[in-house]
Amino acid sequence: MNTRIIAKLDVKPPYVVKPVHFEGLRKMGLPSDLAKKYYEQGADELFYIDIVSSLYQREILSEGIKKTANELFIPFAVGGGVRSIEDFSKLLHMGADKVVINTFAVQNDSNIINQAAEVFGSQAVVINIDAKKWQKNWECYTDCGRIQSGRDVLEWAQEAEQRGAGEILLQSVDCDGRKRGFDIDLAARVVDSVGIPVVVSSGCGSSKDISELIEEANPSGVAIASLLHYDQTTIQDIKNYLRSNGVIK
Amino acid sequence: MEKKFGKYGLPLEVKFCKKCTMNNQRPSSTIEFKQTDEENKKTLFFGKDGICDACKYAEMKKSINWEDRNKELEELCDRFRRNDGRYDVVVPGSGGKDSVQAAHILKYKYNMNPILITWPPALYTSIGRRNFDAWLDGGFANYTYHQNRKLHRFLTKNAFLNLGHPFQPFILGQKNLAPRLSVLLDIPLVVFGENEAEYGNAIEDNYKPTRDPKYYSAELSIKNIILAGIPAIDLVNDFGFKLSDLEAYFPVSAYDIEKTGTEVHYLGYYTKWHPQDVYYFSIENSNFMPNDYRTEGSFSKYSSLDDKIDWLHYHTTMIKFGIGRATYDSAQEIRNGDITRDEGIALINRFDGEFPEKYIKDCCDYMNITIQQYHDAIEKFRSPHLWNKVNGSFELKNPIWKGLKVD
Amino acid sequence: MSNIIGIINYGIAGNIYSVKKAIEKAGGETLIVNAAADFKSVDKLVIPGVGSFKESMKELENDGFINPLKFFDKPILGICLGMQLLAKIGFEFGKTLGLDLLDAEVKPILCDGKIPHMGFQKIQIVNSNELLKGLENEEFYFMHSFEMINYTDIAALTDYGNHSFVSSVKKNNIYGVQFHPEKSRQAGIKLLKNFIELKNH
Repeated sequence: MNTRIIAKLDVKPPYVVKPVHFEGLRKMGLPSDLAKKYYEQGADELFYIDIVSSLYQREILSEGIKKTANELFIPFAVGGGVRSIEDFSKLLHMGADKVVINTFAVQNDSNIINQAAEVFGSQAVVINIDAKKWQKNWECYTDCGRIQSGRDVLEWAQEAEQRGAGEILLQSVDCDGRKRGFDIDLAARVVDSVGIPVVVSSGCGSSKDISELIEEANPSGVAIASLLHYDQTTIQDIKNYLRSNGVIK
Repeated sequence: MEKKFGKYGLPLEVKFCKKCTMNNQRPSSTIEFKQTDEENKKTLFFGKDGICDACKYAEMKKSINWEDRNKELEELCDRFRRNDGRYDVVVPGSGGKDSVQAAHILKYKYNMNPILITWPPALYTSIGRRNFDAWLDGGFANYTYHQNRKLHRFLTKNAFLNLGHPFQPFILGQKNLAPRLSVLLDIPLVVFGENEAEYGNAIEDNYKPTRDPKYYSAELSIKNIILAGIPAIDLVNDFGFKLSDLEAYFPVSAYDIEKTGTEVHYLGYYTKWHPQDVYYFSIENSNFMPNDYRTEGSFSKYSSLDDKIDWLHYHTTMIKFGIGRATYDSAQEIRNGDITRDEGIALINRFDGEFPEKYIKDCCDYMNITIQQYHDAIEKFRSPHLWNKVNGSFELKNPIWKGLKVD
Repeated sequence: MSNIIGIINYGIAGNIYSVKKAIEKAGGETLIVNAAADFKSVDKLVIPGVGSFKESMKELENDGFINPLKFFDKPILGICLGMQLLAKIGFEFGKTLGLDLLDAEVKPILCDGKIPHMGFQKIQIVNSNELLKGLENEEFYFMHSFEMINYTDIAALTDYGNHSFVSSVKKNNIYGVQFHPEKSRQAGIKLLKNFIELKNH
């Protein structure tokens, strides 16, 4: 199965923004516009993450989500500020196919993963891990990559899998938005430590970076933001490059 | 007559700006080298419409013709540019985003030859050190004036104990080092990254690109200067410090300024200063890094990162004025359209006034006091009209999130 | 002539919004079905597919759908979990009885690949039918940890992790797809169009 090429929208409602190292709120456009653009470019999936909901401790804002889901006939994963089973349900009814959770599961109550998997099925439960290098390992960060959780990334990834999560979205605070390449070591370690699909994000600077990542870490998917939002390439160009390298079929 | 002012001459009635999250307790720029504990502060001015000066200035910025201002900067550079290989502009800073941008654009856009100068923090954070190196990696040389450590500690400690303002020695030196080196190095042009007035000092200050001469004092004699709440003359006679070391904290004589032709300019006059844009600029044009995690007392990761004393500084402003780092940061972000007022209030509610756990020990060790002594000393500076004691701990009487009437 | 596609709304899970939009994109008219009483107003039924076997069967039972479904003689399309529910029994979180419309069992996928099986894959049509017409070389989106074990009603298979599993079934008026046509771009829209155009039995 081909590695999925995924477009990621970091949203501070109502705009898509592009932080660097999870800081900064530079506006890049409207989520529904960008979603349409990436769908037409051939994205395999779309991720929509409200990056401030947990930080501002406020409820999930739904308008942007419904609008973005319109006319999107590829899988749509939505997260940001998810705190309850009701939140899962609400998002799924708004058009999400998978729900993404981080802060609440790490800092407040990890049992939500078990509950959500039981009610919605593992495949609908995605754990977002924002990893930051700490000595020889990585630590999980929350609240838009700025609050330490004290949890080790590899341990948490395995625990999340045990609890029933169906997928991991792995981001790197060190690499985010810098377009200097992925944290391949982090990606490989996480992919190898769990039996569930891992989507790797953060740091993509070129199609070559994606090719290297796939060859060395073998993730199930690669999520891209900056490179697409700044129109430095398109998903078609990325896929063409990967095909010509034999990395995807 | 009903008393209208409390401690420090702050207005007794707390009001919040209708647009941002700042309140009327915020002091405007003090003339630091004359500061005593008793002085009454001039506070942030609120118009009759309930909007603060800083917001008014932000509004006014929208109608400035920045093309014209850019031309003015070009002309300024043309005036001072040297084509003989010598440095022609002094850029003060320590590697924070503003000095990174200033150095970069002066060199690469305006074709100047900057020399960077630094009044270093008393206690560098590791992110501060990293960013300082990254600043120079951009292709710049730097003069750093390392303060007499014994003196600087003494001043920091006493500034804290006497004024509740441990940051004063840093602020003084930072303001004064640039003109001082301008004179010493014979480089008349000094360009700072931003502008104090951005933060809500008198709006008139923003109309001029240069620093108001009132911050220097002609005919200033050592008899008039007070540092850390101690008259300078006592520092020499009673504490044995030398004038040569103390001078670093004094304003430069206006006579020397004139002789060299020193002009201190602020980039914030010539370019539309938007902190987040400056952050992105630094990221895109250098190896600048934000903080590893949220700065205590606030939500942000990209401002004021290099000095451990800064963490204490915001704690003291919380105690004295009820204004913590989250308030300062959110007010700024609101004015620039990055967050809304409600979002700012949520952030203040969550983070403002957080105790600086991370560096309290380092700072207290530096000042040679215990943490308990810190707590005891700080109580002297708590403004009674702002705080209630509830079950042994202090709560703000009128925090912004309690839906106080916005006047 | 009436051709209304009913989409069963069962409880707190189920991505009915996506399914509705996709069917409409394919040119169909939809009706959200909240109770079996609505069955008479529709000409076809879709059972959408996000949730867990156990919870979904509970919901279907509580909402009174189980028997009426057994007697619904017009085309039914089960998507993903919706297809799995057609089986006799499911083994997610213990044993749960399914709708028993197909002679099949639902068990966890055992293979070399990552589970859940998530991504775009081709299907091998082994028994062609009107639903799969023209879709031999297309890719569809899969998102599941369980598979249907069925020997009699297989319409298509898919290979993954050194294992071949059932990706589509058909028995009389009942169709099932393990993948999500509403998430499979134009190929999925075409499949839904095929479903809309099925003659009502």
